[in-house]
Amino acid sequence: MVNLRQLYYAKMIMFMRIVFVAICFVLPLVLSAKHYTICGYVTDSLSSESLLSATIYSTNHHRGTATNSYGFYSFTLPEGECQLQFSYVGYSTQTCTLNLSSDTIFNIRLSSNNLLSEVEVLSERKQGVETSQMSAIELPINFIKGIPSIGGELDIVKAMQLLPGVQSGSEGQVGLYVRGGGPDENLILFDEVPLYNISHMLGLFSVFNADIVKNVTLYKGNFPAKYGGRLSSVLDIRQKDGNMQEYHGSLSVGLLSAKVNLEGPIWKNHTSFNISARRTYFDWLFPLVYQIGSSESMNPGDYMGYAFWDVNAKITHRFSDYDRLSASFYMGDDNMYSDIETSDEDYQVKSKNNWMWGNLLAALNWNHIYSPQLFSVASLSYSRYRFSLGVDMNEYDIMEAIDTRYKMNYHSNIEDIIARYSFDYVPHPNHHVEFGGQYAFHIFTPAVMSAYGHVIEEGQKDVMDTTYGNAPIYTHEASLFIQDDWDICRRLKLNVGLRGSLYAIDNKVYPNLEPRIGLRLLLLRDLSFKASYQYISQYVHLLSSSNLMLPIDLWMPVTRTMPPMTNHQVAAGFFYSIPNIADFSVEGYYKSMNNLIEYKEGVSLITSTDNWTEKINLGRGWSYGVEFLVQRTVGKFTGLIGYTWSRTERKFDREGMLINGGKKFPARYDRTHDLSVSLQYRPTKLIDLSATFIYGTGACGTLATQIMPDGFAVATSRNNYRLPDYHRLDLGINFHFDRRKGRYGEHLLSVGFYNIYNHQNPFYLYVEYDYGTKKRTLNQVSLFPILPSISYSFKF
Amino acid sequence: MSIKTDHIFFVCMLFFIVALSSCTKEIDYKGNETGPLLIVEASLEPNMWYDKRDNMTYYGMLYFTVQSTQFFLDTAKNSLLFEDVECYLQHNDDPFIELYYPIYYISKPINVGDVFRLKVSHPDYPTVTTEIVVPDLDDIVIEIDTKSFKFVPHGILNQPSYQFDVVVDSKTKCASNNIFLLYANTIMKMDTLVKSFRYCWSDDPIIANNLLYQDYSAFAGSYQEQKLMYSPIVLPIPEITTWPYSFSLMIPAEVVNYYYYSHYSNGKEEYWTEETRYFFEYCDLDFYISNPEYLEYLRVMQAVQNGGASILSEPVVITSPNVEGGLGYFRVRKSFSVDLTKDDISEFLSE
Repeated sequence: MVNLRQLYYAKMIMFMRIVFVAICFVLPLVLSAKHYTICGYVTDSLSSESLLSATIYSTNHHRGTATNSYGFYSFTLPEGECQLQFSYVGYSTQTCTLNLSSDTIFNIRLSSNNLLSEVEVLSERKQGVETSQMSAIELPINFIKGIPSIGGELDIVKAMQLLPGVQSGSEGQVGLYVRGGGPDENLILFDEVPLYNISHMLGLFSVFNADIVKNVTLYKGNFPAKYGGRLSSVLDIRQKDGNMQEYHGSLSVGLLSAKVNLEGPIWKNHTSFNISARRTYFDWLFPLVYQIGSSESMNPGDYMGYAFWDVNAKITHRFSDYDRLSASFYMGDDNMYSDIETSDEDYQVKSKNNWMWGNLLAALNWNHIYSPQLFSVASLSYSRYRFSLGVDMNEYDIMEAIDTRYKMNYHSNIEDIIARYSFDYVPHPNHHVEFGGQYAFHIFTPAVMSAYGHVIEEGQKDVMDTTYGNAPIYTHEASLFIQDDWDICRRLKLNVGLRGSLYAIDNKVYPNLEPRIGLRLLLLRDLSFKASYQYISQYVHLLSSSNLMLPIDLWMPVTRTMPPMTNHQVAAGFFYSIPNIADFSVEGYYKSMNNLIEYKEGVSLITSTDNWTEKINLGRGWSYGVEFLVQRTVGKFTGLIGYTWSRTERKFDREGMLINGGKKFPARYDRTHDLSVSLQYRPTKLIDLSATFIYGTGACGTLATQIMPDGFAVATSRNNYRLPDYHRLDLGINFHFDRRKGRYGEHLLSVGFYNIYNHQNPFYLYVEYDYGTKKRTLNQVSLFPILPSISYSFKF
Repeated sequence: MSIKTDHIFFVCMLFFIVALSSCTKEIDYKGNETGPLLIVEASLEPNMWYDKRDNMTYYGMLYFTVQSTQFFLDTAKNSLLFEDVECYLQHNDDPFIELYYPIYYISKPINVGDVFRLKVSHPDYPTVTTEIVVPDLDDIVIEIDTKSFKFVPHGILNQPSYQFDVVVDSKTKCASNNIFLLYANTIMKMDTLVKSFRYCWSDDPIIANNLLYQDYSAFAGSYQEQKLMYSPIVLPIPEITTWPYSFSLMIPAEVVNYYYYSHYSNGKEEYWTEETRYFFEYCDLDFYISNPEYLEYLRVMQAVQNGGASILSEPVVITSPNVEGGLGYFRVRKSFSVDLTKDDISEFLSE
């Protein structure tokens, strides 16, 4: 009897489930009128460059959608006449009327506003209000290019640091600290390939050449389900495909580097290429600077210097309206080297040193439209970050005729081979489903050292030749994801996603199910409320030797004893748009992080991977705050104002893993107030003016304030001191020459001033002891005073 | 180079130099702390004895030192020892009694779970309060397993050493919330030159986390005392679950010290080294049972000495888990010692 009743209840539950599924998915299809799908690419009218996140809005149905990361859209509407409005920031809006009687491919080309007269046609509906995605910001690349920067070197990552919820590390660094997370908690994707080291010149410049970048989107929370593996943010950077119509190029020369870009069709309207290269000339200037700064001149034949370079390339081929193939490539290296010979009557010493580090990325992407409702991307990519240090010293004792040589090479690598297949599926006007899977094979070669040495004395040769270090670590990461962006009704939109991942290392598998949910409630036509929740796990740790981004920092995977880092994040906020004026948003968030790592107290920061897990403590972290953003991306006067109030705390209280005695302490980059104002004004077509003001509460630091009787200086709590507040004002002006019709090419002269009022912002502090007065003083070192910059570029 | 090129070059150089130049300035301190703190290091040793002079039975002894830190921006002082502080002790709910000496004999029975509170005050410093709950410290027997004794030619720091097993036993199986520490002090000698080497080495599970040594040395007839770092060799034993507990230990048999000399002659610098060889004299092994707060304090102090003062190390925060308002510790401890002489070693090796 009991069994029958249980069977009955089970059947009832099953039936109710079926009914629920039918109500949610099937009935709307059955009951609604006959629908057809329009799909296609939205591209630039001149270059055929696909436009990402362009808005498509049906004015008679009051529905909207947007292009995906490949400029593709799919829009299902009822049969009959529809009026479609295609708009994109900086482009004129186009309205088309179609009579829908079947599924249709409709590619559209939008014209840039630069080509129009004074008329500025703006989009009427703002994505920020409409979409269910929150905590994501897309900065127009033209806006980024107008921001004044150190040495006139445009920097995408530093532009991101202006956004609320995003902080920089030390001054001038490209590190991103998003909502209380560390710099290793950001997933940096360059054409969907993860990048491990994003900086050149020890963190002063990012590896992204702004000339080749098409689109930049930063997700601070509510990550789309297709992204995972990092706790704090996703920075999605896309390269330009290249002009399919005609050849164009540019040449830029700045104080620090020069770069060249060339793009054009290989086969008109079918195949395009885009190639860009950049290089510094520090190595050429260094001997001169050395001579000015040093009383001794370098010997002829001696050299020392530093240089970085990078090359980006992309080839895109359009087989048909249904198939596109693109191959992307990036390679960049930093190189610091010296070759010096010294001698006197007794000794001859030759010394060669070489530090090199850099990334290599390669990706193959195939876009295929299976049907107007189903778009797919298959990709195969490779990413490598390598660091190597070589030392070669040869000493010859002339008197004793002894030849001594020591040669050492240290290198570390991380390599990823990633295969991914993902789909965009629009089964119904109210549903936009994304699903797919990814497999990644990671190879970590943390630290391998080979050493060779010999001593040759009286014909006898003693040789030492050895290699030691960590064996490569192979790990596997597989994930599946599904996400549905569901228009429940006109006012309510729900975004539900699930990502399942497995990480296998050393016969240990870490499974994780990561739900994400986002909700948008349209309160008024231009006002919406959004809320989101996400759970994320991270399987790699960055063993950082300091808060600067140094190339010796090592990425290490989770281990049997070192579980993945995890993060729960909830966020809620209001989004308001005044059409053609500005977008406003206010977001609050709360993050709870677990299994965060920190070095144990007193551990030397010279990273050694031997038993690295024993040098690490595991703990928890919290971050919460409120972010305000006002953004204007249209018109002559553009800009953004971002303000964040936040708190970030850490607690390491596990047995044997205490930091700060197990008590809570503020994280190093806990900044209560963070304000960024970046404004750009174009009074005429020939001049752009820009100004950026940044203010932030000083970062925390641990200052040893108590001198023990034995002379050691100790701190009584972690991060017990705040550096002085940070603020600076940067100004820039761009002169556009020869923009008049009939002239060949465009000339741009950019003049800028970084830190115009020469405020000495803190870089680090140190304590100095005066043996005469027996007193200590606290001193601040500032890195950048007022820095003028000038650069020139020519475009054709 | 033309004049125009010269100008361009000069401007470029100027920008470059400015870009790489850094500025330093003195700034005001903006932290929470504004002055020095008292350091109270107090030990309570439960140990019953009868004193004929007083005709009293005593149940334990409290001894403590009070020093102070120096605030880093204050002018350096030579002495940081304190005598003019006011100290009060409370046993359970008894009233506070003032202590006039750094040693106090306790005339009431001390039981497991008893609470002792110590309050130390001085007008120039924040008042320090510290409290300890008496843990279960039982009798310990510590012995050297003489059969295991052997000479190791390449032992500690690849130098000749002695290796042997130490066996620790507890009659009533000490409570697991206690910590166990081993202090090993090996005295080495070369004629009149005596060195006290506080290093030894042990396999797991004893954590030999310190190889520092400090010495009291006598040279050329005059006794020179070097400043002794607060760095006893402590081998905290994580947890003893089975009794008797045995572990292997290594102490130096010979230690070679190299002194480096340099001399200028004919405008050239010359270098040479002098080797000094020390031989084993005797060794003290002190085994302590204490409370976990003391271990945490030691851990931090060792982290400070091992590298916490270096800018290349993670910062170390000094924590005094059971001290409020200042630094230090309040521990309850029991100690058991074993001495090992040169003669003992000859005997053991001959067995």
